[in-house]
Amino acid sequence: MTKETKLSQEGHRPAGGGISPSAFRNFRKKHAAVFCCVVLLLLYGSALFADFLSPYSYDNEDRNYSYCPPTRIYFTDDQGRITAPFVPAVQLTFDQNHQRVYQSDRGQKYPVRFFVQGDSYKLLGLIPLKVRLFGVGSPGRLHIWGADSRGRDIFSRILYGARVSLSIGLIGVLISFSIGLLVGGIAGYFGGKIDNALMRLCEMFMMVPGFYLMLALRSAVPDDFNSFQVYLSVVIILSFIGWAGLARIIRGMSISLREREYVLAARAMGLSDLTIIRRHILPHTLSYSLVAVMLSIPGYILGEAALSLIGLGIQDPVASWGNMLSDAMGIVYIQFAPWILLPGFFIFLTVISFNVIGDALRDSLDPLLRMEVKE
Amino acid sequence: MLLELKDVRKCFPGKRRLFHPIREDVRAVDDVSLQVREGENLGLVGESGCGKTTLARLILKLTPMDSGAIIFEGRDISSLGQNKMRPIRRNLQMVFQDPYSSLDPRFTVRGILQEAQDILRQDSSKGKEAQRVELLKAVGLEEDALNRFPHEFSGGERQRIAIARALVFNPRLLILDEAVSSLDVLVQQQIIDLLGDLQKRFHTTYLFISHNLRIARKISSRVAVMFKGKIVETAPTEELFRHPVHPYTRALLSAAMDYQVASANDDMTLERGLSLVEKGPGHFVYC
Amino acid sequence: MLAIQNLSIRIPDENSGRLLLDHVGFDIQKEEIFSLVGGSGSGKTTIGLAVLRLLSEALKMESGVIKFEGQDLLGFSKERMRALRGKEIGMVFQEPLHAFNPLFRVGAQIDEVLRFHTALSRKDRQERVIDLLRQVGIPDALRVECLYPHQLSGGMRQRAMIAQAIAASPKLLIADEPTSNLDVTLQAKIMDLFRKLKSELKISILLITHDLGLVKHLADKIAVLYEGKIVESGKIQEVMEHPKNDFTKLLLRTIT
Repeated sequence: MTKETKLSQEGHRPAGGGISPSAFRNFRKKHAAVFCCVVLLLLYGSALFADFLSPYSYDNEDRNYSYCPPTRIYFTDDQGRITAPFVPAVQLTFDQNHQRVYQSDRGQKYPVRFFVQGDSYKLLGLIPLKVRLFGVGSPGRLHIWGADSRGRDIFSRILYGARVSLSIGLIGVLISFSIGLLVGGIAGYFGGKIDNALMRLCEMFMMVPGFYLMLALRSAVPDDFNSFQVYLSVVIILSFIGWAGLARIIRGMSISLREREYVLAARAMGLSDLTIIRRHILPHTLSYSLVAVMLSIPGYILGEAALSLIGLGIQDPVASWGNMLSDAMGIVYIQFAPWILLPGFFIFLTVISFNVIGDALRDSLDPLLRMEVKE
Repeated sequence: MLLELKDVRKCFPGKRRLFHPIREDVRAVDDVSLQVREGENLGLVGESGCGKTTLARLILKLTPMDSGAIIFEGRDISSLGQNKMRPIRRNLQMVFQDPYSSLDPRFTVRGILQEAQDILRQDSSKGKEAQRVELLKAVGLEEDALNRFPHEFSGGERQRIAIARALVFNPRLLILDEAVSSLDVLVQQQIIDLLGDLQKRFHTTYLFISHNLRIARKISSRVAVMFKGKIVETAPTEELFRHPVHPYTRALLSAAMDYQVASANDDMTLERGLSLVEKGPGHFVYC
Repeated sequence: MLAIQNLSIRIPDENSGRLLLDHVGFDIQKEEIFSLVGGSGSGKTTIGLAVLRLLSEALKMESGVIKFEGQDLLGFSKERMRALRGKEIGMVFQEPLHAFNPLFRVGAQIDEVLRFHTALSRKDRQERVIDLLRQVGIPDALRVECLYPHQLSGGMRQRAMIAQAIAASPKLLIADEPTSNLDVTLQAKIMDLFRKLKSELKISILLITHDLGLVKHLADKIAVLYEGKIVESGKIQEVMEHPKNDFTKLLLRTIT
């Protein structure tokens, strides 16, 4: 290969700070994390195609089905013969305790069909369609996971809610991490007064307890914002809180990275400071940043859920997992309509998945976080 | 005169703490004056802590100077800002000590050379690839090295890549800061041989900084000995080795060439306020 | 004193593996400084570790005999090896910063060796630590003893490491690149120290290095290692003046 004598030993030293193929190998071995990846992919995928996958739109309500329990799908008729799956007609009555009871009449059948016409929507925001994966013809209603207080299908709303809750996490994280990386990189690289000023700024943001800061910022949002604008405001508010912690850590890494000889070499060649930060310093914080991203997404999801729960986040009728849970505030509802809690389970599932993936990422990247080993 | 330093000084402030006796400022580079003529390699030798690396960084304006003048190619670059320095840097390049950290591990060799080429703003990309291949061949590496990462190479090979990177600019002065010190003796010899060949081809002048006198001897026309921030002796290479005058130079030579401890001096002191006196043709001693 | 015969060590990989050492053999006598010279990757560090049986588990010893004072080291149990390391054979490593634990004072770490290998009382040990530090050329031993490794200069750390290695009065000292990271003047001092160890303390030294210049002024015998094989060996004068192997000639060229 070279004219050099064969004295030299080929080293296989890990690339400092970056992500190498062996990291992927390590990660694939962690089965729990891979499983969680699949889970998240399914969740995000469902959110993307929520319109198609859900039988109803998120605001399709029918008070006759208020707190309707999960609809039972029958495969045999009242004579015991096997038939195509169907849903019986259901009648809302009240028993002696004024509790809702739904009586079903197997005589009247509404067959469950696939690719039915339902509420209209725009696929991916562009193509107007009406076909949905499954459903029953009206006036029958299919609530596979039950209905909420207004008779809206929980399954559908969970899918639509996924859009809000899951995307807020991602977008919020992206914004704060961009800010955090930039601020941290600049502060660490330049040092001195710039560093001082930026770090004090960070500290100001970190000083205020997150939740209260969130409330304060939210109250500054005008009342007449429509739901999309509110959504954006919530995202921006959440990312405002999160950037400071990352900035401080990136700043620390930046301080040690700027002493590396390749940074010195870049300066000696005359590269501009910002270019050096962008090209030679920040990429080496990648393995840390990636793990930090994974582990903070749950915080954003929970932040949105908390805001929506108390009515300050996403407003009705737009569904988010958080505001769906506000229906569940009261032991009465939980006792008699436990399916109301399902959004909570999905929040839990998402948060756990991100945490498991984050931990696994950290473990598989960890040996590569260390500096290169000398010969 | 390619490079001239006049009374260059750099001090690092002593740490001041409450209730502790004040520690003096450390004069890393203490009123150093040097000259490098084109075609005449200068070897700057001294032990660790003598200030030679600081001096290298001062010359490249990577660290700010406290006082003094740096004149490169006849132009005073002492107080130039980043923007004005940029064109000058093309003629003034450096190869660093540690082959394991002077190349960004996330870049391929191609990327490393490309970054240097982009600074020069050449136009055709075809020409650029050809230049990269040619540079690699000039330093003794094969074309397929372009696609590989620094960690796939040995220390000596990495230094070759670093040299190739510096050569992209075709600099008139190339500073080598302990460039071979962390390699084993055989590889050191190879790199020295390579540098000799490259000099003939690219007409670069070297400022070779090292603590290793033997190696410096092989490549330098003149040698300057540095001790505690000051140049204590400078002379044409063979003259220095045959007739060292300053006690520190003699101790250094005795240790380096004969592995003999000249005197029990862990703390040879340096008097201040003396000056370089000519003791022979081109031979200056601080006394 | 130390006799190595036919030592072969293989590092396994996807194929059949690479031979790190290929039928290596040499002898070290009493009060002798024996140097093993080779480039990086030649396997020289491996030999040092092999004698003390500190090799990584991944390496396979295919053949070989290592005898110390007539006894086969490869047959020793773990306890006997532990008793041997430090007491009979000491080792000095290349990077003193790595050899010392940064959390403990230097004196305490030397004391640890004495505690394990000798039956000296605490007071005697303390005296011996100071004594050792002085022997290796650290004059204000009382002060240095209380310092942490990072507070010492490179040269002093190296000397402290030597002090630790000879603390239990071993008969053989294995020095793996002991001066690579040091300045020239310090190097000369360490070499002086090695000469003293040999003549006054009667310690034999296996000096592993890539620097022939070092070897020329210090060693009695030399063995040149190239890609795991000993290509030339003999008395220092002989080999230096009449090298037979091409690689040896190449090495000699570097010190002209």
